[in-house]
Amino acid sequence: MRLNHLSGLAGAVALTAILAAAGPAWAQQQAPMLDALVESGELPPVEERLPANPLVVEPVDSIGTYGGTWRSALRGGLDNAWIARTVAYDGLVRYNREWDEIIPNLAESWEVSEDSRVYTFKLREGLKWNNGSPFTSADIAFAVELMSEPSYGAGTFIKNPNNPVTVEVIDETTFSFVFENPNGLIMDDLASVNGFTVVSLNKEYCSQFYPKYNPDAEANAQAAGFETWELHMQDRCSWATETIRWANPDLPMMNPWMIEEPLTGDATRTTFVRNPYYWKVDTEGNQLPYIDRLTMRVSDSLEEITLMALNGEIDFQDRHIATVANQPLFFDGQEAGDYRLGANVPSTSNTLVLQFNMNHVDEKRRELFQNKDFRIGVSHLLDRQEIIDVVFTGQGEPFQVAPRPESPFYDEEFAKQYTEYDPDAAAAAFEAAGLVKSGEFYTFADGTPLQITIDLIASFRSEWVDMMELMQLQLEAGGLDIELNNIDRTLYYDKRPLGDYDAQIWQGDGGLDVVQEPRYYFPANGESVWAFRWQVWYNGANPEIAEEPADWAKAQMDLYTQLRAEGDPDVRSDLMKQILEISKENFPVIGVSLPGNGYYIAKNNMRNIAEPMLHAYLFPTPGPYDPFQWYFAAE
Amino acid sequence: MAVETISPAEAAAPRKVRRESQLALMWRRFRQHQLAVVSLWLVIIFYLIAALAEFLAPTDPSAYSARFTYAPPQGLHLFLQNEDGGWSFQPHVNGYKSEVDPQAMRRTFVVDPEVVIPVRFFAPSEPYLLAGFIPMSVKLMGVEGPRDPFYILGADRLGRDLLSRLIHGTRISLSIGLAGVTLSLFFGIIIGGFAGFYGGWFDSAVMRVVEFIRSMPTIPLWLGLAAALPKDWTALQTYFAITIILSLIGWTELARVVRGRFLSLRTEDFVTAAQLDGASDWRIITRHMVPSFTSHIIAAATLAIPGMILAETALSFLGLGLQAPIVSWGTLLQEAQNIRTLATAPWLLAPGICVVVIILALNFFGDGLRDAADPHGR
Amino acid sequence: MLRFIFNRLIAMVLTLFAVSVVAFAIIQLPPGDYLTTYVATLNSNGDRVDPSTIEALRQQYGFGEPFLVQYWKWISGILGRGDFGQSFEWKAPVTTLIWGRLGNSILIEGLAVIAMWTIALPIGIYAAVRKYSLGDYLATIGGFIGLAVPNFLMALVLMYLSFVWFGTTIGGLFSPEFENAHWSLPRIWDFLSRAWAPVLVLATAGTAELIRILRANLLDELKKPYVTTARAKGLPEWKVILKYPVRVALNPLVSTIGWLLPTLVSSSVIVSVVLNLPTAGPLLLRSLTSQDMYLAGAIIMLLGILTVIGTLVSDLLLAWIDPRIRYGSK
Repeated sequence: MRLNHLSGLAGAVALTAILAAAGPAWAQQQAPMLDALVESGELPPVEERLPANPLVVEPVDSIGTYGGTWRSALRGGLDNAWIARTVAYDGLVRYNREWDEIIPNLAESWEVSEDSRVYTFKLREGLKWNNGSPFTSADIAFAVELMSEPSYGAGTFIKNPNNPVTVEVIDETTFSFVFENPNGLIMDDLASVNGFTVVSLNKEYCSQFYPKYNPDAEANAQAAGFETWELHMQDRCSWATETIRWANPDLPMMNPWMIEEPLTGDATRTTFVRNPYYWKVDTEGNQLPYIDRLTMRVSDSLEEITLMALNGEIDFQDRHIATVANQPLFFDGQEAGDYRLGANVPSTSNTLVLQFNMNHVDEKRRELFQNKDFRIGVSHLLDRQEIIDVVFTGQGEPFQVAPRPESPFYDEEFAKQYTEYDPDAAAAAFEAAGLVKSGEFYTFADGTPLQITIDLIASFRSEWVDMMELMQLQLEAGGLDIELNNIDRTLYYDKRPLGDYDAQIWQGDGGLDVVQEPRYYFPANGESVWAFRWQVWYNGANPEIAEEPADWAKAQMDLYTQLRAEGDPDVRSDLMKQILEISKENFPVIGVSLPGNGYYIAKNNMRNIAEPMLHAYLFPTPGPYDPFQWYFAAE
Repeated sequence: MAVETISPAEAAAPRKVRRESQLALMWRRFRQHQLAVVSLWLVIIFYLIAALAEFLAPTDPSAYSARFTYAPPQGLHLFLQNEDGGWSFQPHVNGYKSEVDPQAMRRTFVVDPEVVIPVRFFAPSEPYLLAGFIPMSVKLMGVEGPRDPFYILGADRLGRDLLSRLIHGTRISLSIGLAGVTLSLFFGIIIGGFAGFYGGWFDSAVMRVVEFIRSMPTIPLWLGLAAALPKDWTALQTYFAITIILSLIGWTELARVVRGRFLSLRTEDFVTAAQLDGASDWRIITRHMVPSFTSHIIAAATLAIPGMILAETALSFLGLGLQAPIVSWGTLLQEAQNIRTLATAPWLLAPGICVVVIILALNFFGDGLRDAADPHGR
Repeated sequence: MLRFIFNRLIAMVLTLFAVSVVAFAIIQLPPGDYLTTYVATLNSNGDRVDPSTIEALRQQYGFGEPFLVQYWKWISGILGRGDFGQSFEWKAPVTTLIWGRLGNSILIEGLAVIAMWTIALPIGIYAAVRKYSLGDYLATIGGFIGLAVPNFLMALVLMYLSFVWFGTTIGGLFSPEFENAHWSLPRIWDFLSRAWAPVLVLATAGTAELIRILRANLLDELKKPYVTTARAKGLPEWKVILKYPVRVALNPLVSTIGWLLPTLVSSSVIVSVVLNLPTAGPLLLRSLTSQDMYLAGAIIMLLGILTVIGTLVSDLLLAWIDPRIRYGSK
């Protein structure tokens, strides 16, 4: 991210210059709801609350007005991801709205050492937690110190055993992450959801639960009803976006809104209110956020949330309710509910990924599933257009598991190879793979029957059952004996190390986040179900089941190892392209179709919402589209 | 007559004269309860549908069609108006006019009365096995063209024929009720019978267990047991497992009924007489006591079936019972259990109507039986 | 009487012990543990979690001890300190999660019992007095419809119709503005404008059995000589029926409290899920599917206790009303 840090730094310097020059014209404004608090002396005036150089945010359309409550809903009380996406997207750095650049956030600038081992960050001067206490390098150091505790259940890059990190505090606002080995992906990590962890703990408040700082911590934990200090810490000072973090209103935060009604176990709603110390302003110097409050109804009933949205009782939401099945319903209800639908561009490359187990414990099956011709044959037997028409009302296009068209890694040949429905080509491919047809179904060359069981979890995506039922009929028409096995999710995971499954399905992660989520391009992590034992060999987690990968996969692993240590984004992108090239050549997994656009629901008077939005996990939509600059237009 | 069909034990037993008169008495009393008589016929019809599912269902329940997703019901028209304005007997359905609305992501359908698709009764079809062993190649109804839409009750989200799915679902749901009750009956009679006949510590122990099981809320029990089923079981294995789970709770009620009957019969004169004659316990139970309350047991068993059927739907709703691609009323209802269906495809709630009808019918039939079986008469 | 109460109490303690063992066994039955379901759930929402976090959590929770050890820890915690353990998913003591929800459960189910009687009484009496008449059939069908419609379907349809007809969403127990307000008349009104749906669904599910028992009992009573005497003496018909036979017929209904509770609890799980009621039901369902075992165990245990106490109360009431039971059954 050399380029980025330079531009970030330059931007910050330029901004300071403007600030100094503009002087009084830049008088900062605050929300009317805070005026009384300032007058009564409970709050210092807005200039003292803001840092020296607040982050200036360009509104999407227009400068907003203060006020209003954003209503949405959580599916059950453990739906912390929605809070993470709306309230909590504030790390050291953040992604821009196009998701192609990393820009300053809490850190106004950063520098990377030549060997990509030392990352030095400069925090904004005068940042404050929502209780008014200063946010400094010490807070970062504390978070890393705590999460490095082997007994403490928090992870991310801090706990990576292959590349441990330490923090060097240089002064109040300057610190460095020092890695043992080169780390090329850390900036992306910090800009994604995983980046919240290091900025989520206030040392002053949280150190009281840590025996290192408070000798009574262990005893206090017992007195408070917790078995260990770790559990007590987790309860009071949970990291990042854990659900329980939103249950403690005393925990200082750096987000645009702070907890008003906590999300306790028996809460039927949780509310957030503006953080008077939030450190961002719009281009006219108005302190953000514009919206005063968020209320989230806690509902176990999807149908209730759907009806609330139809009834105009939800101001913005996409999570849970914006399904393919509900689209006609929401489309028709726009006028009555006074809302509009906006487009969400999914980050996934595929509606369904069919992964044959190349590491099957059965010798014959392993050999067959590793045979590229076999997979080509299966791919040609799928009438993708029919599936798209039936299940997705024509939305989407036939697609393999490859980078999406919006991605810089897009390669049409990779995306489209073997996607045409062609039973003859399939028959030829099966023959090349050594299968023989006797009667209705293909068998192994020696005549042993070949029945393939495909595992799926119906409860996750209702489309999957529909798609698989169609695919089963199509594959059986082509001579493959397919059995569908609708199983429980835990079993789905338990089966992986055992290696006796034929095939599993999942959605196509990594369509836009190609580098960060390469599970289908090479055996990268535990989600690479098609080559689980190869990825074990690569990651070294439980060596007793590791298997040496095929040469092409090993070549990919070498390339990815280089990529992880590479500081130069251009070189990284080159390395990724090489990995993808090998993947295209070897065609490890079979895709069905490119997902059509999703949608979000927004009330008509809600403004500054970008359209369309990219939708991903690492890029926690709508967080990167700056909900703190959304506002309600006066009627 | 119907009573005879459902209690073969009675028909087979000796001492014909007395028994028939009792049966006739029961039947007369049963007939007074007109609701029960109607219900009896409904129950018979439903079980016939279940037995003849392959013959009655117009199409394969899993046959899908991209062109007819969420197609509304066509209805079945028996008469056709000729050009000269007269009516003639010509069973038919009407075609659809449909278009895709890409923005709203759906197909819209209008039933088009211009397009007449004749329906043939006893239409030839692909060969199939009725009830799994009778080879047949004719179906009750069918249309000529394989691509002509034939959705009397409408289509689901994949363009599958709801009527066919409903008919096949009837088989699974009703048989689960029947199998569950049979199993419950087996446990109930044996356990309840011994408890009632011998009394003493065994009786108290059994009654404690029964009380205990009945004091457990059933949902957590089902949930726990259903969640504990090995997850790699096939559909058939799950089906049987669910049956067993349902009857694990169901036997308690039957055991109570049986025990109660035994307790009251134990002191009756004819039992004492048999004992004095030196008849063995087994003989007294099977020859003398059981026949005298068979009708009660049948009534109790009938009343237990609805609970089983409802339990099956509830388990499917919770995502723990039978799962798609198995077709049962429960899985059909689970698929229909959302606002989208209520708002735009209400015909998919038809399985709910079937559930209501059969539950009511079984309840009233059971009530009628019980009233009729009461020796004191009312 | 004292001896009877004492015996019943002993039996209750034994039953409770059995309930606790079964509750714990049920939550132990499914394969895998909380963390595997946790990872799976995250993945299904497109969310992920770092593998090292999972490893650390696994150590922290100490999964994998033998059944008896775990049971002993659990039950001794409950008996000794009233400590039901930690909820993995909520990362909080179980006791902080359940009391409020259990209260809501009892409130809704209590209202449902009242509604159930209100519906069942007139239907039951009418059906007995006008046996086998058209009115009998209609009333009985009406009373049984609630039993026959699957609860989840009825709840969903009610919710949808109230949206279409009245333009309101009736999920939950309160509308947002009253959610955390103090009790007041408008809040009670708000509560009732939402609670009618679950109460109706729950009540109608149980009326059928009440009608059935009431009708049978009343039919027995109506044949007795004292009724004929009363009629012969020229008492108005409604008085003849209501004054004695109905009251006598109601006696055995006290015993229904015992089985009403488990039925209500079970059906309220489903209704609560559909209508988003903050009762114990959805929490139980969620904890069972996510294998949050101490939470699930605690809820099953408490529901069990509730029913056992309910049975005890109804037994005692019955014994108090009818001395034969006190002495006869022993």
